Amino acid sequence: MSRYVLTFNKKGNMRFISHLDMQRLFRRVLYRYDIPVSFSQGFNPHPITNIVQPLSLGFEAECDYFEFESKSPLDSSSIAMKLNGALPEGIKFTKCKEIPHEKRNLSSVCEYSEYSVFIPNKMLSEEAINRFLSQNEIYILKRDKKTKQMIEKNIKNWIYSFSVPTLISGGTMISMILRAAPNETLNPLSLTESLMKYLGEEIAPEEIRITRIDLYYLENNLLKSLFDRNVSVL
Amino acid sequence: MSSVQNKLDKILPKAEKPARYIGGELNQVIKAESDDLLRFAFCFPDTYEIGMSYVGLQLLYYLVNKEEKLWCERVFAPAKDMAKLMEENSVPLFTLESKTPVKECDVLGFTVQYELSYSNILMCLKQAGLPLLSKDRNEEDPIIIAGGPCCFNPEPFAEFIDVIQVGDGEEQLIELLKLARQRKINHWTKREYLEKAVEIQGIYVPEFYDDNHNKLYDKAPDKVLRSFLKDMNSVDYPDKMLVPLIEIVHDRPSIEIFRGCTRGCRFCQAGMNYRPVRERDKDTVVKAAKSQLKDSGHQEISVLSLSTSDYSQFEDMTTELMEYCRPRQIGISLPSLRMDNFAFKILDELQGVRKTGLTFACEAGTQRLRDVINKNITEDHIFKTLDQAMDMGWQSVKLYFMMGLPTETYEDLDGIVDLSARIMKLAKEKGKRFAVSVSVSNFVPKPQTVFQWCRQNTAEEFEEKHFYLKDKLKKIKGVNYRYHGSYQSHLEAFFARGDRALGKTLKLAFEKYGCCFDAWTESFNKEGWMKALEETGIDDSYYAVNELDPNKEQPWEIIDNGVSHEFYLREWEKALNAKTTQDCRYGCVGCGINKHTDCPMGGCLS
Repeated sequence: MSRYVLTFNKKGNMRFISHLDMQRLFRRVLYRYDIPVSFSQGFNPHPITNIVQPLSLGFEAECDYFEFESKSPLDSSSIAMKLNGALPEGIKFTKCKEIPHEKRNLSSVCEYSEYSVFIPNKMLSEEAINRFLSQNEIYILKRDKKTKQMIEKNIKNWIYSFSVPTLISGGTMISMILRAAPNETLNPLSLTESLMKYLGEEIAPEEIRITRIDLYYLENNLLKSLFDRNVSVL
Repeated sequence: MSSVQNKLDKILPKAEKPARYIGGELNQVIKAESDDLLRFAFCFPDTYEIGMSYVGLQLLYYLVNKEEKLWCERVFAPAKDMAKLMEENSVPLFTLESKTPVKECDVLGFTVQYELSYSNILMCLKQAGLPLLSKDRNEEDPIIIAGGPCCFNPEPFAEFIDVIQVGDGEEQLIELLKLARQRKINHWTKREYLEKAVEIQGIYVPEFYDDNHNKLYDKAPDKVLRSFLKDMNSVDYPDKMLVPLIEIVHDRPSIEIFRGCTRGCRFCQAGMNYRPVRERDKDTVVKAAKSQLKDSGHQEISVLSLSTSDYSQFEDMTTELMEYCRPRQIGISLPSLRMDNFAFKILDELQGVRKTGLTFACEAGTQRLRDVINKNITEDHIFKTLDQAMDMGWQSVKLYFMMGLPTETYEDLDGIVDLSARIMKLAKEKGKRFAVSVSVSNFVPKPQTVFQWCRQNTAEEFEEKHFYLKDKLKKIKGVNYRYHGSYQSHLEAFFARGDRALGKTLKLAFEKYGCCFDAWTESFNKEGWMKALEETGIDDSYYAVNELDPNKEQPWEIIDNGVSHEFYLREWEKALNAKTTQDCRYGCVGCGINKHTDCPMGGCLS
């Protein structure tokens, strides 16, 4: 068994392809190139593939992650280019490397996600954003997993950092790094809506353009890109 | 970037399932615009998930785009939420490939698969910014063409369409489009184009006839004989398919193995309209299957035909497909399979430990009624099969029936109950867990079939029978019962046997009452249709419920599917006497198709 991680981007109209459909797409692409994907054991075997962090419908990605297991070793230097032959325009694998076996998959390693958020027709100042961030508690609307009701939740400690806003193309661009770990995921759109509400600005959520920049984990209290992670194989 | 795409960036985030509208799938075809490129917008007037499941689209898309100077792009009906967003933001109906407004294409073609999609054709025309009526459109508008099974009685939608294609479309459509390209290059008027188009076999130009089918143009044919694709192997089968990015209804490659059917079920329209049986060569089928699987990465494949087991090379084909699919864990789906020992063997191998459904299309509850409709399935066969199936580990069966068939009585309905009860009894005797699911649809008398003159039950009669069955079946443990909406079936029969007068009802129902997506139970607007019928003074019962006179010319007889009137009459007599007619592979039964084309089937097994 060999295990690989691939990074990919997702742009333009392809941002409307859902997480589940992306999974189906990637599996088809692997089959198409006769990659001997490993199957899980059990009564209902399924191929061992994983998109590390689901991306909301409508978000683009510069660098997102897909991992899978193969029954036999592959040439990781050429695989991204090869698989790109069957991907639609707008989705592209960028890098690939072999990773060692672990009990857990990358979803449980990932801790943070960086997004760039573009808010059109609004000029937000650094001062206003700092005011928002310096509140003792910051609430967003989040769907409760058990009751399925929308509830208010304080997510202040799920915000890792906010960049200084830049004003471009008649709007505001902010880069934010947010919690993205199992059961602790902060959606940048909910947060941006919360920010706009705090500032008394009105905006239709579908006008906000969001791109995932990268995924991170913490090593010695420093953020490191998931792709650069090295684990020693025992 | 096109102006449509700019607007889509704004509205798609608000739409339900936005990926329906983006195109960009693997194997979509983009061509460079030029003055002599004919642009054809192929519209399936329902949602993306339905339309993309249609094999004919894959087939024609491939064949048209193989022609260098023809470009086929896809169009689907926007769902209601998207239609509203498009209207509010002035986005006209567009092609998925290049996001070009349909109105700017040279030809717009509709595939008309079911009666309840007629209103969607009007919806698409309106969204495209085109006048609904053919006579209101001008020289700059695209030529509107239509094809598909409903074109065997196109009268209810005839005045909205310029050119109607009847019969096999492979060669005919290419010819029609090449002619449209000549029009574009040589600047013919629409009239000049229509006069040339009507010379192609199977082409019906509604404006060349008045409402009573008197000819208004001398050279138009008296009757339009459908086109025949003589040899299925003369046209290439796609080696690649468009691979949808979102989940659709039938999400897998599908290979048509033959067209037509020799069994002669008297209610069946496809069985009459696609005669004679023409097979695609086994090697072509297997090659296409492998290449579509390889190229798409799909893990399932299905073969397509009526009565699949009748394929002359069925065992060889299935064995070869299995040899390819099994080591790759690819599933094979074989619909319309007759359960014999070979079928059991392959199903057992295909399905392994997890047995999925087993289905019988019994169609009627008693042998007498099955003889009336000429459905040659016997209880003996059903029970023998189920006996074996239960032993091999199947845990459920689906039974399909129709109600409201000619000569049906409550005894025939009791037959459905009796059959279900006896299946459960058998399971009990064997000590097996088992479930029977009974699905009953409403009989719709279809034009160009033996039952074309029959009355349909009224919606009330259907309801009464459904309640009767529901009541009796719920007393049997392990049986579940499903049935169809009665008024929708009524409307189907109304349009199936309609004439041109119905066009105004259709138009009013759409324009005034917003009727569209009628095939979707949740958006079916019964009140709208009832009001439209009343306001246009059309008696729906006359079309749907009345028994028609076989000696009177019917509206669809302007179209000739190649089967003779005498054959229908003979079969209708036999039906009333519950006499069956043999499968014509055991001896020609004289349907008349061999007067128009070669028929290799007559007596081929005798």
